[in-house]
Amino acid sequence: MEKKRILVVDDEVGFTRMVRLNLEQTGVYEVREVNEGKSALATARTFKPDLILLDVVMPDMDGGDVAASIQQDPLLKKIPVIFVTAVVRKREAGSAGMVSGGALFLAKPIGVMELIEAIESSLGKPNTGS
Amino acid sequence: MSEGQIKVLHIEDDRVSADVVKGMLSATPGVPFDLECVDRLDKGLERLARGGVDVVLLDLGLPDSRGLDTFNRVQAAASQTAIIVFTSTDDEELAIRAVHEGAQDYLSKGLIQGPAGRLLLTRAIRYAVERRHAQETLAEERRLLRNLIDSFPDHIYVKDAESRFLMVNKVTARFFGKENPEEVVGKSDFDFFPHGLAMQFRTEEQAVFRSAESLVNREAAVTDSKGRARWVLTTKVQLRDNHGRVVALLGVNRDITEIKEAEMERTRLAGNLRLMLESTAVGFFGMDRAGRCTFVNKAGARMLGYEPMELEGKNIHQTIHHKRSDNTPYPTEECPMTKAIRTGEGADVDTEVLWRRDGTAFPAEYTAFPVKESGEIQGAVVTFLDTTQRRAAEMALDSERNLLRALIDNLPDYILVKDTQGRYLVDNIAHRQFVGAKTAEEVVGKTPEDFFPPAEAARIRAEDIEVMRTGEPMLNSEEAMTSPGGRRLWVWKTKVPLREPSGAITGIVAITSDVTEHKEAEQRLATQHAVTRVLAEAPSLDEATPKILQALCEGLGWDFGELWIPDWHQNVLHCMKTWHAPGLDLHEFETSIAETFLSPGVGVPGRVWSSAKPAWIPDVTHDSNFPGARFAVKAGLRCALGFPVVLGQLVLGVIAFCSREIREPDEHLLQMFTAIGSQIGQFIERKQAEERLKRTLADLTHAHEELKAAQSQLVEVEKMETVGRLAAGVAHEVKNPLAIIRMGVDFAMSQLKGQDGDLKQVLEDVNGAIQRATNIVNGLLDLSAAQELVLKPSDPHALLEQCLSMLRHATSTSHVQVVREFAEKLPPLKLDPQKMEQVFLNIMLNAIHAMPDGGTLTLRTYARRLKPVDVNRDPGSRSGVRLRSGDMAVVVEVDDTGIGIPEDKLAKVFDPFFTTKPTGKGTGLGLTVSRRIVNMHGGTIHIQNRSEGGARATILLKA
Repeated sequence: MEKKRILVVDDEVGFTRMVRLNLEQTGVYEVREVNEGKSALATARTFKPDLILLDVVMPDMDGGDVAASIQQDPLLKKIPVIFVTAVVRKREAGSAGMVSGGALFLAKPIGVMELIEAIESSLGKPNTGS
Repeated sequence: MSEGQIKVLHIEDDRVSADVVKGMLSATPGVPFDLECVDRLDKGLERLARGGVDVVLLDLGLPDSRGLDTFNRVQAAASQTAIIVFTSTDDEELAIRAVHEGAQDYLSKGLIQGPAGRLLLTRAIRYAVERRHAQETLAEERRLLRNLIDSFPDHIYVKDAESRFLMVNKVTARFFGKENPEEVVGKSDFDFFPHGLAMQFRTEEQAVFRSAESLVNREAAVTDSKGRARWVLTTKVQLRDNHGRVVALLGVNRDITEIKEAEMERTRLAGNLRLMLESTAVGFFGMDRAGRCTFVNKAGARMLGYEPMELEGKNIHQTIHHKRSDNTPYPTEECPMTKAIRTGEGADVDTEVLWRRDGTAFPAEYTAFPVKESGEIQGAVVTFLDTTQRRAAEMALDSERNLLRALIDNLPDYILVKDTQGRYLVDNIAHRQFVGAKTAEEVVGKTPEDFFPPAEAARIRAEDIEVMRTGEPMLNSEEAMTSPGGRRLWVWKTKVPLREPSGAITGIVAITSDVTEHKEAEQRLATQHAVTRVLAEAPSLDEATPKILQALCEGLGWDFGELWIPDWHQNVLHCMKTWHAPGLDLHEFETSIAETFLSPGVGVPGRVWSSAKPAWIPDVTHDSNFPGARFAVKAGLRCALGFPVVLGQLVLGVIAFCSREIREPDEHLLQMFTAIGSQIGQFIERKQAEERLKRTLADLTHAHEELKAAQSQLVEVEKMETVGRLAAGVAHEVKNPLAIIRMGVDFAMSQLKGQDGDLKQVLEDVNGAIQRATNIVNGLLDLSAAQELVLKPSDPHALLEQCLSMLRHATSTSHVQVVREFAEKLPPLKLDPQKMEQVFLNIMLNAIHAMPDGGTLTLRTYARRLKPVDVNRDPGSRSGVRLRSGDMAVVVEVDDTGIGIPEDKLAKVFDPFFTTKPTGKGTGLGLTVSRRIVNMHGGTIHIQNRSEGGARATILLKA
């Protein structure tokens, strides 16, 4: 079976590595790490992920901006984006994550199981592309 | 009996003899004999007793008598009558004896015969008469002599050759202490005087006897019978008989005791005088009639530069008095000393000089006493003194006196001296002017009663008496007094008793300074200060006014003060406040004033109001524009004055005064009043400004407080924002590593593949830790949650139910009963439901956690009005709490039946990170956040222990 491709964008190297290790050891996913918002777009174009995990607060480029540029790219706008961020309280995020403008917010720190749940849920949803 | 007639009485019993005699006598020519004849002795005696008989012819042989006895009886009966005795020839002896006894003659009867006999008889009679006469005369003379020597005051005595007293006069006898001189006769001096003295006398007398020398006027000191010492002047002379033989010594002693004593006294006095003369500093000299010096005392001679002897004999005037003080010659005729000896006029001169030996002169005072003896001028005695020093002293005294006089006359103070009766003795010009006198004569001798009003004079007198009585001076006594002119003055009086050198008080010295101006200025200043102080301290005009009136009245001595305020609508002045001096009955006047409304220009206040200037009426009875004059006069008030209270041009009011004394306008006072009037005006303005200021201040304060509250809130907000940002930052920074750790742990656990229980446990513990850390970080974020409340009308009951449902698991697990005590109707509330839910959740969670073994959770809601105690209860609440006492609030109470909270921890429950839960359970941030949220709603939350056990959380929310 083809592995699902996940692009994880976070300025924390440790975090992206952890995510890749955890996801890849399931054998289901193939994960690409990006630690700079600027290169996220380029990598997305080449890697063509099925889903992008996006940190919000990044020094060079805001997660929101990254998401906006992704939206503007016709080739990428259909890819679902999950925001994974430290600035949101878990409660606000809710057990189902908070949906803001259609995007899913996950609060750090997050457990692997919850991550996988969120990924599968997003992949299963039809992408409205809004 | 006719002159020349000889009265004869013949006592003869013999008829024949009687006839013979009768015949003879009647026949005798030339000498008329008046014969009477009796024949018996007793008849004869009887006849003699009738007197007038010159001769008695007595027959010794009478029948009723015998011999000499007959004669004695006749002689006794007629001592002044000559007796011729007739005898018979054989009785001659008897006749002779009769003659011895005092008969003049005897005749033998036988012889009386014939013409020869007749001759014999007549002759015998005549001779007898004459002899008798002569004897009488002699006896008379002797008696006279006796009387003389007896009445002579001197001692007269006659001594014999043996110095025995032959005769002494009465005075001598008395001297010896004998009444009768006969008692002394035969005695001698030795019987009466001390032996020595008597011996001395005897010796003297012997000398007198022997020599022909008489002892004349010798002084002797004797003692009389009474022991008194007497001085006598003795003269002793020989007494010779006709043959020149010294038969006796006649002595005369004159008692010269007094004279002697006087002489001794005189001598003594003279001696004293001499001594005095010599020891005195006064110069003495005597002048004779020619003006020559008869004597001069040492002092006098010395003063003149001479030896006494050099002056004696010299002409006084030429020697020491020849020139006047200006060196011009001084004629003798004009010299008073010379006058004394010329006219007997005494003189006392102190304006001339005397010239010394060396040609210098000195001023002298001399007195010339003429000396007279028996009316004749014998000379003069002159006493003199060198008056140089005295002159100098007098001049010094004079100049000092003049200086003093000038001094006291130039001083403005009233200076005077009075005697003990209060009469003026001395005063200065200033005093005279004060009492209205022009010369000293108008004052001296008078008393204060003559110048001052009775009450004032009485006071002066009382003061004088006190000072003279106690001897203590009255120094600088400040007093009010009325001048003779009736003016009111302030003076400083000093009175000092006047003493003689002996210390006795003879009067009083008084110095009075007029300090009226000074005092008045002082009073004005004090008054102004008082007013200023009142204005500074009084919070309002209302409170200031009585004090101002009082200060002005008391300070300046006015009796009544009034404040008038204009009523602009009615255009009248009305009296707002009055003040009067205590003790005065001014009730009627006060009442009349209270009812008075004055139009502009009417009365003193009206005048002041319309003119905006002070008005002064010295005597209201003379003023036509004084409506209250009647009442004023009745109350004894005479003088009225008013001044305006001004602010700029506007007259805000009038202050007026009345006084019982008439006072003349005083420029100084008017100035002061004007100043005070402005001062009060400014005060009013200031008070008004203060009011405005106060209101503004109140507004500002209010605004300030609101600002502060807002600022606090803002600060809070900013703080929270900072904290929020910080928290956000921290959260972010912490959460990322946490995320990695979590991921790592998950990965590690996935590698475990079921074995390694220890490792698994470790990893699980780590996971727990991660979770806790995450919760804390989340709690931090909660704490600094977005400050915006999203207020919506909410139903607290709904929120509470929602929380209950969320906690259903917890309540059932802990076996906690839930009791609802919800109000039926609550006022509408605007809340942020999400946040409030968080609060309720937190509270209820705490309550449940407090009852791990079960209990009852009670939820209660109701509405009530807030009391002050509710509002003040939250000490930790920051500004932003808007609950006020009286507000309507909704109360939510959550009670539990747990163990409660320890008292010492109650205050800290809301502190961040405070928790009573064991470590690992609870972040300690729940209540902090909850309170934050409640406060943001403008409510309060507090926790207390319940008396029944357990705790209660009370939330008050503004409805």
